[in-house]
Amino acid sequence: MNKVNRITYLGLFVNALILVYIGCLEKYQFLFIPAMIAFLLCVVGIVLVMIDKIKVGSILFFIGSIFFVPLGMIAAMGIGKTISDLKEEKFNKEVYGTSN
Amino acid sequence: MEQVIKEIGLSWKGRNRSFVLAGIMIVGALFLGATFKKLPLMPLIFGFIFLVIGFLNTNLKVFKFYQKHFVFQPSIAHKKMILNDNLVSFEIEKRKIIIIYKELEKEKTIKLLKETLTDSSVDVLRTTLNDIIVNRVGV
Repeated sequence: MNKVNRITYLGLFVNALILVYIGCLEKYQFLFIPAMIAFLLCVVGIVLVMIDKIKVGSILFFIGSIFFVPLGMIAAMGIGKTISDLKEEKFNKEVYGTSN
Repeated sequence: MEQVIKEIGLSWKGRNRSFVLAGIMIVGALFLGATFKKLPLMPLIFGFIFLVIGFLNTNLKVFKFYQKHFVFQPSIAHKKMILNDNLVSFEIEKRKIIIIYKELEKEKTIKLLKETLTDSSVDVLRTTLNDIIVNRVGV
């Protein structure tokens, strides 16, 4: 199982707060279902990245995060860092035979 | 386990660019808020985001050199690993640093503003990249 960066979790938490905020305000009720779908895409994306479906997972996560921009940028940055760390780990395994 | 041989960090300008942008956004938002008696949220949020980016970039190492490869990391979320054998050439111009390398038999380019590194770091980068090319060719 792949490790996900802490910034991603922080971003997901911020996205959840936005979702709750949208849900609580009556004038933004029409945005609640799209926001819920976007948040679910983020959650599915994170799970897919964890189980090594990196490409599909990151695309879903980015699509989900777009809805929450500008604060969604934190989560997008986090998943970007996670992916580059995973790529480095894979690269190190190929070149040196170790992941550190 | 591979160990870092050399590291090159950001210059003062490169490190604090996000903080300057954050400052402009936040001060601008407060100024607009005071003028129109209503605080605009967007510039404030962007200011907050730039602050977060600034803090994350504080200890960023743009170049890390290892025994067989080097890592180019212009931002927290973007990292590129390049094998020493795949380095083709590099050029340090007046304002830009250009590094050409091979990836899957195709030539690719990395471009970086020179001001994001200090003058001494640019010299270190020049000698290190030169050493990589010379050692590989065996001159």
